Amino acid sequence: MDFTTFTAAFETDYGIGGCIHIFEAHSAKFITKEEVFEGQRVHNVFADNNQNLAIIGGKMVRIFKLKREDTFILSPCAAWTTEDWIQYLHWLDCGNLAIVTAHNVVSVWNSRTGEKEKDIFCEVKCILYCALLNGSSWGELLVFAGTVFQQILVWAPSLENDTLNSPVLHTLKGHDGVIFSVSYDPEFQLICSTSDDRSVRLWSVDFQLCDGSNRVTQWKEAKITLLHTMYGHAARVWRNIIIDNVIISVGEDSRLCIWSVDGSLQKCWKTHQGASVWSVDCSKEKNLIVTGGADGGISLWPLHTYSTVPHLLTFHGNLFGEDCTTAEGQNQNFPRRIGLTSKGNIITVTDSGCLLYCTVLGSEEGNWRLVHQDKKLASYCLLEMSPCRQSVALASMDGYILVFKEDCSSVEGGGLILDVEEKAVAGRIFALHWLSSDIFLSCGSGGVLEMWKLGFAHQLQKVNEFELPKSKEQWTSAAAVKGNFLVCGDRNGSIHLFKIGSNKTHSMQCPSQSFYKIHGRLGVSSLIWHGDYLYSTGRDGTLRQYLLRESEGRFECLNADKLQMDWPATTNLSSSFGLLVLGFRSVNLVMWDHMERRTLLTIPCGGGHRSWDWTLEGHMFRFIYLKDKMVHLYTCVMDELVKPVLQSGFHSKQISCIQQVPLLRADASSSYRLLITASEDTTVRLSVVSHSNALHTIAVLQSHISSVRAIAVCQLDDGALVFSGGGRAQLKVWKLVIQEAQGLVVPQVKCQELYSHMLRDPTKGHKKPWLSVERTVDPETRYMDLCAAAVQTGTTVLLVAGCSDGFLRIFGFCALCSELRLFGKYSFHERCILKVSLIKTESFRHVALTMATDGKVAFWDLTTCVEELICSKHRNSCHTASADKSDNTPVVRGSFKPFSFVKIHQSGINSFDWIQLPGDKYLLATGGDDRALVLSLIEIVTPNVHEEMRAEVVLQWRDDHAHASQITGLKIGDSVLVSTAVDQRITLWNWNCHPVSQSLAAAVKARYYSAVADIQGLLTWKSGSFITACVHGKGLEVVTIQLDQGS
Amino acid sequence: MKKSSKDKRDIYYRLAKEEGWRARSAFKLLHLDQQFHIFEGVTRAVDLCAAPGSWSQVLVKKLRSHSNSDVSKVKIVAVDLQAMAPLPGLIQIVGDITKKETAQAIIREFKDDTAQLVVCDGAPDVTGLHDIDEFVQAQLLLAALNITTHVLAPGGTFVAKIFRGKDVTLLMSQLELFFSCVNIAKPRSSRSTSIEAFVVCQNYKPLPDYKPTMYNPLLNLLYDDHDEIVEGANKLVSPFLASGDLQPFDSLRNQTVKVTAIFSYC
Repeated sequence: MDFTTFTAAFETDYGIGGCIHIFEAHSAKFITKEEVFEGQRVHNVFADNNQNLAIIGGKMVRIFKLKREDTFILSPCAAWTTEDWIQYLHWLDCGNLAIVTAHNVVSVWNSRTGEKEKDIFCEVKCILYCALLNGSSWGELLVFAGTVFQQILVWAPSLENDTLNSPVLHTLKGHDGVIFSVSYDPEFQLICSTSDDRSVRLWSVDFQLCDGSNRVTQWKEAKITLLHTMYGHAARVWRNIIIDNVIISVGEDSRLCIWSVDGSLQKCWKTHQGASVWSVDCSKEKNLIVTGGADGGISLWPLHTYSTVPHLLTFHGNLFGEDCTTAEGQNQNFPRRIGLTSKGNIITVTDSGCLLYCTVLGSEEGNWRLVHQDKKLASYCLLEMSPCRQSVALASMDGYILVFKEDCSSVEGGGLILDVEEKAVAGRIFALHWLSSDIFLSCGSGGVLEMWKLGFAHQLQKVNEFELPKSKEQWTSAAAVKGNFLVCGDRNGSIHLFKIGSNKTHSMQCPSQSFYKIHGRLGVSSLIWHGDYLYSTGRDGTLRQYLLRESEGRFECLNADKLQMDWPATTNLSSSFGLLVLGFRSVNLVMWDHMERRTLLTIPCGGGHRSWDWTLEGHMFRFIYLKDKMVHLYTCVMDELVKPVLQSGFHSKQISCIQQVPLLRADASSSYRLLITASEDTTVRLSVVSHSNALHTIAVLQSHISSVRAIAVCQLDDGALVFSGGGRAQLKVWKLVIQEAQGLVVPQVKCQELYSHMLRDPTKGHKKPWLSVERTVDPETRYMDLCAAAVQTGTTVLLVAGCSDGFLRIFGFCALCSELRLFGKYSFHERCILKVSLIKTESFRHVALTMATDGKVAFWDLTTCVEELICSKHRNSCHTASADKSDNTPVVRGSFKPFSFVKIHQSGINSFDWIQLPGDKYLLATGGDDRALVLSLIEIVTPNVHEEMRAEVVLQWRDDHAHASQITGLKIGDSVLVSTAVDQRITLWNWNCHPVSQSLAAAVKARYYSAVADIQGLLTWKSGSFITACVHGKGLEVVTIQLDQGS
Repeated sequence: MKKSSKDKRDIYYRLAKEEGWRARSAFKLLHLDQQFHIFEGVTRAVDLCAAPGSWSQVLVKKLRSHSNSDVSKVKIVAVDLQAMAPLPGLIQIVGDITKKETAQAIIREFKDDTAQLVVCDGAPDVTGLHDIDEFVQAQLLLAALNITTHVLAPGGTFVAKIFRGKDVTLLMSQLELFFSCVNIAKPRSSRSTSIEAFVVCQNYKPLPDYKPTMYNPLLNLLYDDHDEIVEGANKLVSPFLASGDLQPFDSLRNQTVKVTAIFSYC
């Protein structure tokens, strides 16, 4: 049978929740999904040999039979709930089930009826964090229990005595923390355990009795000794498996480690975006490992890999040319530069100026041939392969350029033929970049860039000339061309755009646009076009994406991604692997899968300061590099090393905020919703939720330096503005341009970062804070909530931010000049503001609502702020350039206070929503830390244009025990209300309000139990008679509620 | 060992360092006392899962400073699996709270008398899987309750940490079997982003036929019908009280404040 039973093993969080997903292992295809529990996560899946699946979660068990008809079907058999937390389940030969529960009890159940047959207690009573059962029948059954007291207990339930207590056979001591997993391998008689103390320990079982005595007796007499203590994880180790002479362990540090039984670490991958790896399983037959992470991702990995060692190609310098041995006896004829040709052959140029061509014969052998020898090329020579890898250009110290072409008449490549030899540049050539298969760019001294075309008659033809701006190290490090535009990255980390004009004038052209030091001070490492986008990498460890506006003749930097390597060197886009980044992390070459955000390959090559080259053709990856003056070749078949991702991960930490991005064609027929989520993992994600409630991430924005807590969305004519804010008082403004096409399942979204703003406390700039007389408490402020509203259609946006230092901060954003200005900060609550909102009254006045940990709702009149905002915008547009730094200083008006406030809750207000009713009345729903749900009908009285406004509570209704814990999400709609709380319930209420008859009330209509822990909020949308509720917290769950039946 | 982006050094952390408390959690007990006056008239108190000892510090300071009580009568016993730094006026027992011997040792320390107040601030090392963490915390609370039934005098008070997760109402109902007044409170020194809260059980009143035992697997039998308890019409009323009056800062706030002694202790 070609399916995998090891899916969903202990899957947690995102999207998995109470469901089981089944995938086909060899094709990585999703087969089916089945909801197993409501409000309870699936913790493990156990299969027997007859396609029966037992699924456990908390105290619940469900049995399914997996049937294959046209496709796989799960047919439910039995379900029951135990009295205690289930740690492990085991199929016995007779079809019964044995279960170990958290209080160190083994029970036996009939798998068809779900009836309990017996309970056996261990004599040691304590809480277990993990357990394992081994043995095919009751009489042979052994329990390996990992306790909270750092021990592993081995006991046999069949040894029960009169009091139903069974004695402990062995107690394994050694771990210095709670035991999180135990596994046992009967073949090698090994026990492996993992623990809170970050170690993996291997124990050997030495059976003293080898006669035919009972298995339990054998175990009783056995000697168990600690073999190895393995350290390799940087945090707690959650699971382990012993399989095929190796041990696989996964942990909180998101590592997947493979150990050999002698205790040495064989392999280690980092995966799941830094989140915990909760589950692991393995199939020896399929040579596959599967992991499930806290980010909701499921990945496949190879168990055993071959051909992963780089080969050393023998190289004898004295075979070629004259003897270059110095007086000291050192051989000077070693390779300097290296390249790979289209036929997979190697070109090197040696220190003594020999150009060599090598056909790779076997694993450690190459057939070296001398092609050319030239004193000009000695000691300094650049070697660059053309994009088609059929030409190689050499550039010398004194300005000579030599181009050789590979003889491609035979399959294995026949050698190199000299095409051009010319002294092209006066002086040293600092850099050479191929722009296409017959055009390249040279960089001479003084930043002179010359573009050359390979002409006829073995001649170079100068096409154009450019000049780099003056800088310390004035040479290029990367270049690319598209249409009439040349882009160059220089050694100082700047990127310049040149317009390629006609070459008749022969005048030096200066850049038309520059991004100064965009990649830090260590230089740009690559510039490559992939489709319509230009990607750049730099020594600052980032990958940036740009869009060229050809009509305007300028570039736009769309976004920057910080990569998990310090030296990204180049990028590659292929259909089979997506966007790959090759670069260096300390002494290793790493291949980074940017879509799945994981490292695919690590090769210890010694670091980036060497000549190296690589090719990826289909699934064949070749990498050559120079190390210790020798040529190393690494080849691998990517299929063997890289296994597909079954399900992509989502946020790796708590999701703190979710907002819906309005679509331009905002009609109900639209088959998807665009959601934007922010998380503690510092990323903002754009995702699409389809009709079937499936979530698909389309973009990950990760330039925040701290957790992102709040998002505000504001619609513009040509897209949407997104404001994101969070820790370290950082605010970012993004622009989304959504291209919806008919028949497209996923819309195309162009995402651009417009502005980044950080509050800087004046005391922070102090270089020596300890000299300050005033002692201050940590001034780092967090943005707790944001709300935005357009005050002038499409141009000016008002943004209010509730901050953890108790201030309400008001910002104005001008869409024309893409500038965010802080207008002022105002304090009223003197406590952390949790929620903010903006109301536009019937008389078109802007009112801000703030809710804080004091349980008060305050109302602020922002009329003057808005007026100022519109005026200042005019002022700005008058003197465009005068928007200097001093403009950004906030206007603090201490006297500004809210015009009204009401105390609604005992403590913090965590959630709210409101709807507008006729007569400037607002129905405000608030949910607090005190579990109360309150509906307040509030009337905002606006007596005169410049008179004080008033807000009055006309009617109020409250349920002080609406939920069992703090209410964190509320949405109010026409006569319905949805609330959610940390107690994992989503409650649907019906409300009615009659201001005339003074009645306001709400009643529970339906309740749903979510599997998402620590719910932080709620988003709802209505379509027809359905409400879709999307709750987020430690995960995300999308639930559809039918209004009529309230199911 | 856990990586986190949250700022752990809030104002209560600093205040604790400044005022010499072993952990910031000391303020939680102080705030609970402000609301519930749990120390009134108490001379015999037990601190379960005491390490590192900040709650013991509070008990020592508060009980020994009652103006009208005789300091020599005050007895405070701290129990933990591991030993902690000694405190003057504190008796330490190194023992397991699930063992009967520990309960007997406590009674012995009180010279065959029972305690008037039992506090427990114990929590497991959280794994990050909320449902397991909540389960283990509930088991710890029930274990603390179990030993409390051995040592607490009728009318006494029990204070313990509780996670306000999905099964909190069930736990409340279990506690209400033993106490006539059960409240959940979240002191303002407890981070509002955490699911942690405190259950304050007053007026210990065991059922007439209840016999304290260490043999039952921690009241597990009650776990059967929890859906009914939660979803039923008579939702348990366990008034949530925001502990303490609203003083000028809370734990989420991180404004630039000059640190002065805002709380004064005798």
